[in-house]
Amino acid sequence: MNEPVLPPAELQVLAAEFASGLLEGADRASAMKRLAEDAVFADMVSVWQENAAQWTAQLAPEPVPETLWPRVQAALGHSPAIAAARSEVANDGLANGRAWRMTAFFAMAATVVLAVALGVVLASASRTALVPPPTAQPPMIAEARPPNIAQISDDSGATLLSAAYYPQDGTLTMNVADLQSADMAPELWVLDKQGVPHSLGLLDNSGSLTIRISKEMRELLVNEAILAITIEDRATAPHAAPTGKIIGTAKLSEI
Amino acid sequence: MVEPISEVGLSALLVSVGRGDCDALQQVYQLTSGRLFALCLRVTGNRSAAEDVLQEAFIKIWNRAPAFDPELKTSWSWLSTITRNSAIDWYRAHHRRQFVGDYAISSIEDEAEPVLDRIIREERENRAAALLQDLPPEQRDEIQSIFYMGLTYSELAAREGVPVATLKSRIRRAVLAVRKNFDHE
Repeated sequence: MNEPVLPPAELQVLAAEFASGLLEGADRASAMKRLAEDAVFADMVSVWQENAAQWTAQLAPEPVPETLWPRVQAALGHSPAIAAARSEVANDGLANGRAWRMTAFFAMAATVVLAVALGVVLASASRTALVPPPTAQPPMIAEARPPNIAQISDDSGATLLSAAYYPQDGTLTMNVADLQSADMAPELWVLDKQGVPHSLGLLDNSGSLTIRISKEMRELLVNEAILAITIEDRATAPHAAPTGKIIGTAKLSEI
Repeated sequence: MVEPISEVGLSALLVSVGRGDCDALQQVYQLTSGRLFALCLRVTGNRSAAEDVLQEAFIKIWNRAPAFDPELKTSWSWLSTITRNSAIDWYRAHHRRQFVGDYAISSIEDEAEPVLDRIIREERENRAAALLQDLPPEQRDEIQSIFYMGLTYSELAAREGVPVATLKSRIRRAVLAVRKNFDHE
């Protein structure tokens, strides 16, 4: 089930390769699976990403042509009306549906499908049950099928959640970034074929986490299913529909 | 001399951009476009393409700013990742193999940096820079370049005209050299 144990030095090389984007194909899929299962590896990847961002900050600035800023403005079509519309979306609490659509649109490649799907977010009244995590039984036993994996990142590419879903026993193993606060926590969603989000539960711990998915929800966790994270109120979870802004989405993919 | 970027001030500006503040976007542009343009040049290897990529990156920055959360990501990390990803997309679409060497250092005008900003920035930069200390210059350049460019092994091998296996060996040596400094932290 688990990825093979590697010596610390090899694990560090793998973390750097993954964080820098060098890996591709099966190697990348394998590293993503490890990311979901191995908190030490996930920490190594985070450290590489954090340091790499600082290295780019040390790049010597290049003179930018004076014509570029007017090009940006023209491309954006800046006008007072547009600015006012944006301000309304950002500030209006009732605009959650629009913010949800807008964020999801930029968060992943399947933009058209998702944008349409998210239009019905607030109409959803579907509920789901989160079954407590298994205690002793490992996620995969005989007749192992490869897990489906997903990595949810925010707009800038920071990893929010790495997940490996094992269809034969319905367990979902995750590594979750620290998104916790006193009253709020990340909530994981899966979108059905009509684009309606269903809660997979509140992720009230960061780091490694395994949950068993209810039979009803397992039918939705298929190849290319869309997962999403929102930040929600702990006290009222799980929710019938998202109320917070979506901070990242990803597709579940077979290895 | 590379001028510093104010992290705290930049985060506040990005939050304003997310609320539709066009002037804040212009300030973000003035503060960061020089470095982001350098990043675009590193990846694309082409000045004209780098301009197009930077333009596209700022359009994305404008559109995505409502989702920027300073508690989840530093402003520079957020900006540079969006720009880097835009540049990589361009590179993958065009498969350029032109190599870009170091560019002459130039300065950009920057506002005076608040003390708190400077402390935060220097602490981050020092920690990251310490990881690369003691590395031979070519190894330091190599490890930084792979993170700037974000290309896969096969893309990077094609770009540099070396076998993938050779590249893997070189990168492995560089990573392990940096790792020694991880251990010293």
